[in-house]
Amino acid sequence: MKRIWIALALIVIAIAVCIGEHRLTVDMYNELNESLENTKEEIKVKDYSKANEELDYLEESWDKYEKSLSMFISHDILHQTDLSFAKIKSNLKNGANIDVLSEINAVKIQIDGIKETEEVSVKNIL
Amino acid sequence: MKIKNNGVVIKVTIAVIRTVILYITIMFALRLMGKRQISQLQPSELVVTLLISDIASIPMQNTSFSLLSGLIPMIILVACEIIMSVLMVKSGKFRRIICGRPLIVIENGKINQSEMKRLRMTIEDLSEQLRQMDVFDFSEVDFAIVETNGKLSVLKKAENQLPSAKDLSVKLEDKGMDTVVISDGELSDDSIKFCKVTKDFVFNILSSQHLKQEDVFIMTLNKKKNYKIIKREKA
Repeated sequence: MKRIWIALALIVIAIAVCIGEHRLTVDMYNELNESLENTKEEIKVKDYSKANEELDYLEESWDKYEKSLSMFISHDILHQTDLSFAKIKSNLKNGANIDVLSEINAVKIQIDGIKETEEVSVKNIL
Repeated sequence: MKIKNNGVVIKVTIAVIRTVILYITIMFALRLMGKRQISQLQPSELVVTLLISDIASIPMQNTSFSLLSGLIPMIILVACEIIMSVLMVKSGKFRRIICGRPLIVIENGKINQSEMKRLRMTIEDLSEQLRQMDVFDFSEVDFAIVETNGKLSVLKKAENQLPSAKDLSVKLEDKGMDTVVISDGELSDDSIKFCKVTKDFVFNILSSQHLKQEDVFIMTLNKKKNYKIIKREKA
């Protein structure tokens, strides 16, 4: 009987981890997506100082989420997003605005991909 | 070059830590699933055991793979296996659904061809398994049953069975079961308890033989207080 309680406890832990992962992914997606949109808008209106500030905040948030997400998601996928963030920063410094916008779009696609692949959906299960 | 070297060292260290974590998890998982040998495993248990080893190898080899994505399926598999085994103990019907039922392939000395067809078992398979049980002639067998774990159980015809002591009306002395009380100089409390003796009893035997505990390689004892001692060879 002790074993069945351990088994049930293990299932509860596994479910808790799954819920935690789902919430983390959704939070990450919402926060970063909104921030990326803001950065995009600020670059379009040529408010570079605000865009820089927003980008700093974005990087900080990403670092925070990346640490937790790396427990669940393949590190290679997270590394790609890491690289894109670095590119945005250097392109903004060099004034390559078109490249910044395209890189922001790339990051958006990547975090969208993370959210989609981690989502509990029939597509992902099958 | 330095960075590359550091990178390699870190990757190897991570692989070592991950392997240790996975090893502990696998040991814990197998311990939870219970003590059984591979030949005694039910098909579902064997599949789960193989799956666990397979899942564990992925995050062990590939450090870019998250450790949890390997641990969670392992945890779920073990939990499901335990729940299934408990349900099988509680319900005979459930056990029959999961494990099937034993099938009689030789009944009253006659080969049951329909059951063999159902099992997709050839006559060569059957004779091979019978030979492994020291049966070289089908006519010696009264009953042969394929158990749920795939093993064959055989009951020979009465005239081909070895007579027991009871059949021969011979009275044999019950020697009791020997247990190892000292192994390589180490005293086993469980064995002492099993033999219903005290540690002092064992030490008295040793002193009567002019031996110390460390001098003993193996000492066996049974409930009738019969003992055997093998001394440790001096290096």
